Amino acid sequence: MGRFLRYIGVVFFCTILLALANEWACRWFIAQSTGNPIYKMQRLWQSDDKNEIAIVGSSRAQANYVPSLIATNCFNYGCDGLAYAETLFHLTALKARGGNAPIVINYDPWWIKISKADNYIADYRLAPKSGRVKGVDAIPGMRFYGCLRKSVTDWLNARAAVTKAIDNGAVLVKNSRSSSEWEVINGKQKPYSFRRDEESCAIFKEALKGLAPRKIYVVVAPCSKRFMDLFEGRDAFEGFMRELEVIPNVSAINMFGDERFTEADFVDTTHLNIKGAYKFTSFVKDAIDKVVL
Amino acid sequence: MMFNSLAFAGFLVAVFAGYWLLGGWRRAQNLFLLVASYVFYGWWDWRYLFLIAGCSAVNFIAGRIIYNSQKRWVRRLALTACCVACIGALCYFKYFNFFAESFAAMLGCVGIKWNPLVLNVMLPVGISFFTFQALSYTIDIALGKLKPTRDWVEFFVFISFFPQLVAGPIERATNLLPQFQKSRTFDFDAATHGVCLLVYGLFKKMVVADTLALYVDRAFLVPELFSSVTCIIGAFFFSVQIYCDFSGYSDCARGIARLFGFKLMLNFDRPYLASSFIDFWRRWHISLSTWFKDYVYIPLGGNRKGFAVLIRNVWIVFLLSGLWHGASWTFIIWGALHALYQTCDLLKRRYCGIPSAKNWWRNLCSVVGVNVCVVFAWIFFRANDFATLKKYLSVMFSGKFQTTMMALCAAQGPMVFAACVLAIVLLGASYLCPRDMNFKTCRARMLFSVLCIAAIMFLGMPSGGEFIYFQF
Repeated sequence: MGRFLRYIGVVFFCTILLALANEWACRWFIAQSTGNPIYKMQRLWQSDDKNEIAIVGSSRAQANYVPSLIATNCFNYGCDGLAYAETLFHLTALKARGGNAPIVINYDPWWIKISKADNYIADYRLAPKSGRVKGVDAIPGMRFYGCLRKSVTDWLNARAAVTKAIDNGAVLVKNSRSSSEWEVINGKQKPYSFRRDEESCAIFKEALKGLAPRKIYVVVAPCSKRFMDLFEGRDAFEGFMRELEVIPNVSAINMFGDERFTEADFVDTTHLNIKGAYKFTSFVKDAIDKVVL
Repeated sequence: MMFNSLAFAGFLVAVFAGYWLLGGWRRAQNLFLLVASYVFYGWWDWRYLFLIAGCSAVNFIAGRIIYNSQKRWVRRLALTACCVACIGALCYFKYFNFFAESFAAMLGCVGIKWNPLVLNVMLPVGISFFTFQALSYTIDIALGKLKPTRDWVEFFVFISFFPQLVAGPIERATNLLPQFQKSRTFDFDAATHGVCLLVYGLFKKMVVADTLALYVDRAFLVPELFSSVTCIIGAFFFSVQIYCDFSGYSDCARGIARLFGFKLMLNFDRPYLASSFIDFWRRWHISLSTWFKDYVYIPLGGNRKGFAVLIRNVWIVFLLSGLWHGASWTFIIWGALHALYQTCDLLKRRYCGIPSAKNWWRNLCSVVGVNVCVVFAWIFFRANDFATLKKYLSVMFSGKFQTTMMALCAAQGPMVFAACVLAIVLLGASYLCPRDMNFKTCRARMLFSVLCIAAIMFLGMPSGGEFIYFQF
């Protein structure tokens, strides 16, 4: 048994070395690619650039905004799968950073429902200041298990830009769809709706007020025609947007259902492709400039 | 608690330490393994413990009655009652809704409307595996191949032995039960071999199967978005995925059992190197194929009652095998396809004879031919329903060979595609190792283990899904 324990000890020691090597490699790749969500979390909590214009939101924020078009010191913190509660968490981090730079929140109309669940995105691993690192992620070496492929992919995207282009955190999709593909995508589209939840609406408004005097732009990105046709509760949603505009430091830029965007601008019914993203960002920039003037 | 989870790693270390601390005290070791196995199974849902305990009790009692009774009708009654109880439980949990809905659909075809009663019960994990294992014990006693055990602990732990409880191999009492009846001492070579098998199984699951699942899941979800090329690659990737998923579990099971001094049967023997369909089923899920051979095929007459009966028996076995895998017509068609392949193989052997094994070119063509057919059959196995199957096959045979990068990569990006190819290359490289990873030297075993861990560490998926065969 002693011999076997020594054998296992050597294997275990090698495992620890490999885990640390994996962590080192991941950290290196992540540090080189602004599109990586872990990089974004690190930057969110560790940057002290008080003049940075931050864009926050879900995958639509990540894919639809080209930060370099808005300003050189603009960064896209949008993350895949980010829920509404996590955006509030992002806003808390930006508030803690301080400064007076504006914040752009990409707002999804079907989004405002605070779930009881805690932040679920696993990208807090490199953000110890967030106070959310727990469980396996607290173990050095283990926290980056399974991250290497994604890290290398993001790193390659940042350099080779084969299928996606990276721009200050934005991940811009280069694909465009054929008409037959659109038929399939539209056929699979399920109806979405705006269901007002008073508690969630109140929390969101309070969060926006709490960021004063920083200027907040609540932007609603366009969705495809098929999506809009199936969407329910648009009037209630427009009403909510008007309520947000009443808050002194908030400007709402509503392009939901904007007919200047066609299927050629989308990669699916709710995400723009790179062409659509440039078009949309230029509209957003114009709107922001008007508000500032 | 899955083999690829941290919870299981902690569980395994605790059970391993406790088990060997009991020294050579066999009864205590068996009792300890029984408790550990019930904890392992109860981790999913403690209510299932009544099911497995009930199944074990029924077979234990039936085995004693069959062996001790002098009257033939008593033996027959005990065997029948045991089979009805076990298969009845299996049918209740697994097949009730399927048969009820199929019957209602059949009545609908002749214009009779009937709303079947649909049960809302969750399928207990591994029910098909432990039911078949328990039945093999009772049938073997009835056939006079085995003496029943007097020790209920031995029998209960034989049914619930945690390494192979939820996804096999489906062990025979003739192989595994005697191992619980012997005292076990720690064997360094067996334990290091066990570690090799365990990490190799994890490599297959976490590196190969879970990586390929990214591509396969997308290809089967929206095949109409892609091209024929994507569907062909998707089917090929699924054949590798299911092999690595299932054989990975079997390797882990065999490796863990070795750590406790047990030797489980080989369940996969490089099946995609088979040069005929008969050969394929000698290499794929060996424990299930031999179960059907011994308890269905041979009692039906096997190949002793003429060619027509042989073909009938083959069809019965493969249709049952399809149904065993899942309560769905797609599984039954998968079984039927394999029955068809076997029939062709048997006809070829009958009229053309067995081809020479020396002609390597013919062998290569045979291996490729067998694999093409097997991969095609896997499409039926993977499709969740007929709608998906129809879409997948229509895209695959649409002749749309022009493809974009997005379609080629099933919209998962070139890196996922590259990772899939790399995973398959690594799997191929592992075939250069000795059969069953039985390295001769301790250093070679250690090096192999570390290489597998390196692959898992660098290429493993962070949140791998369940093993596919858990659903059966």
